[in-house]
Amino acid sequence: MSVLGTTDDDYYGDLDDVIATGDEVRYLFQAVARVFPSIWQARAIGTWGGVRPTLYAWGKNEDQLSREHEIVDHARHGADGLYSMIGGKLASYRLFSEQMTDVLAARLAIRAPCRTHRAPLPGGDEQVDPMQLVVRAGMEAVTATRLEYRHGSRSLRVIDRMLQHPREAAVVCPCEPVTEAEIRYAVKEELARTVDDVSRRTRLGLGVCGGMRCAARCGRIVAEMTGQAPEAGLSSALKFLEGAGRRRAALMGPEQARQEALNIAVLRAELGAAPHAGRKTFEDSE
Amino acid sequence: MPSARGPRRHGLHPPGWCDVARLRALDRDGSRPSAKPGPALAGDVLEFAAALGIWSLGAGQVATRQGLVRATLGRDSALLDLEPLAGRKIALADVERDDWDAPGLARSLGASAWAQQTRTSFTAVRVGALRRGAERRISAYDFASLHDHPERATWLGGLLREASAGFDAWLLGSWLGLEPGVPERVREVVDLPLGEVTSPLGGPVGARFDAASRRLLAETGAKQRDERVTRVARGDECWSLSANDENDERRLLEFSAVVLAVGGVAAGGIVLDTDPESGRNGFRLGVAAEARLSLDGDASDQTSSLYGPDFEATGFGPLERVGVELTSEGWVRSDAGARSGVRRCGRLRCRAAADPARGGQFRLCRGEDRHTSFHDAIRR
Repeated sequence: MSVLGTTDDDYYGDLDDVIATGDEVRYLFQAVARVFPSIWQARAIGTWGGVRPTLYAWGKNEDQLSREHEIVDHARHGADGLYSMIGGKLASYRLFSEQMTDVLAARLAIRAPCRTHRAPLPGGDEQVDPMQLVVRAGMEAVTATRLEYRHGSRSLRVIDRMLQHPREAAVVCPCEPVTEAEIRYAVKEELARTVDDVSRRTRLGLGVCGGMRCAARCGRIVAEMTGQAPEAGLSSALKFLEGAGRRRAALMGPEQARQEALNIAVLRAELGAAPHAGRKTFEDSE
Repeated sequence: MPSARGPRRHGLHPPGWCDVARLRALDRDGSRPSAKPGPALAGDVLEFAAALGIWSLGAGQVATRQGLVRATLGRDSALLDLEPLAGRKIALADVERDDWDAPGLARSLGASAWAQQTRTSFTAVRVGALRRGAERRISAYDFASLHDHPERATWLGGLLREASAGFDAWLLGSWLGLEPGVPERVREVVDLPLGEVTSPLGGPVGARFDAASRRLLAETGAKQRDERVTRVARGDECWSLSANDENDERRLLEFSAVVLAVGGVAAGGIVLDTDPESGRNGFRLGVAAEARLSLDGDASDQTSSLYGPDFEATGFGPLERVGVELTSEGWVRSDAGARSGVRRCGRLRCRAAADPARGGQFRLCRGEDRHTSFHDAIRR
């Protein structure tokens, strides 16, 4: 699987509804096709996008806008104690956070030395050999490697869970792969509350099947662990599948179109929905 | 073409975007206990199903592998009809396969509207139906094929019988073989109603249909060949097909009649073409033939630069709504929009609960002849 990107464009819309557009996808394909023309035959399985708040500047296009970050103290605006962190990019988020922390430490007269550059990130405190997970839990090597990649040393906590509950070694998302133990760990330890949350944390449903094989089951697990009715889990799965489908709409090609037609048929059969109003059915064309 | 940026950028969901959005009703609509029988099925459908030999027709309820109970008009005979089991205790075989979550399914099925209204219970019951560790992860297709062996099927039945106390029926995964007779063999041992949930894509139910349809065609004396047909054209005396065989060599075949079962986008009979530069979409038939496509009553013009649905704005509904355009009298329209020499003479619609809704339009392209039955049509 290959990831193509990135590109950007001005955005003025709903911040809760950010999706890569067909124009953006074609732009990336056209760029890659200069070197790899076979990219047009590849089956695209998903897109993702986000919004980056750049520092405001009048009259500049998106390429010319600064990628720097800035901390704004709103005391000069009459709102003492209020700060804004604006601009920047993901690559500099830790530096940005350190700088903001320094501002707050100075305000609060905290003199302790900064240790963020020395403290390991969650799961980064020790190296874990994925083969160790294979031996301990009897996992397949690919599953173990992906688990270690996602959680680092905290993958051992997932393994502990698996050893206490052997049935949780079942692979729920075969594409990525993601075990039931990892899903339950994400819910219990990382506050995942929806299928979308689990997906962001584990990549469940982001593989070639787009969640068709795993979203519903993940929804059931999340609902059970959070004390909700099974229907809530299925709703969460549907919401995930809907979003995944919308993210794929920008890159429809012949192969993916066939897959989407199959997906719709499977959802009808598995979730029992009747044809919605206005759909041309065989009954309609009698 | 409306810009996809406009309404979507403002967070509005365009109407009709992806049927998934309308599935939120889940089983509230689809699984009401049958207050009245479903619509009567046409005679040709019943005849076809009887000839096929693997379907049970009539209104019923099935459990889907996603954890819902839904109404059906028919199903693969291996699936368990829940309708006559309303109010009873149903056991789900809890087998340690990665693709099977019996406890979760039992909870979900038990919480369904149908189960609640009929007071039907679902309980996961441990069954040690795996003989080797590898069986945990093999495909549903391969696991089902294990039970084609009579000894294995009998063994499974014995395990289920031992765990049957207190239950009125068994619900399984898609495990009951690919060959005919496996469900009956297991049921005979268990001596309780027993059947499957719906099958996954590429699973046993599709394989059973494929095998049964090939058997049916063979019984009619039809010679079956798998070739890739690229063109269907009408000559003075006959129809000619251009096909690529397994050596990718072009062959010309001639027939007095042709039945064209397109199958839609999902089956590859209708292809979506996308222009890489403009991003515009258009549909065409997977085989060159004298037929025009239409979408929602509008001709899908294949000759102009691609102009079709904007999926970002409309969702994926057009993928299942595009089809061959017909006149009001049932003639297929040619590319130019005129009535072609192709007529819809017979139509069979088959909906199987375990498989995606199937629509098979069989058209006999032989002038004014009409054929009164499926068998008659095939034998001619």
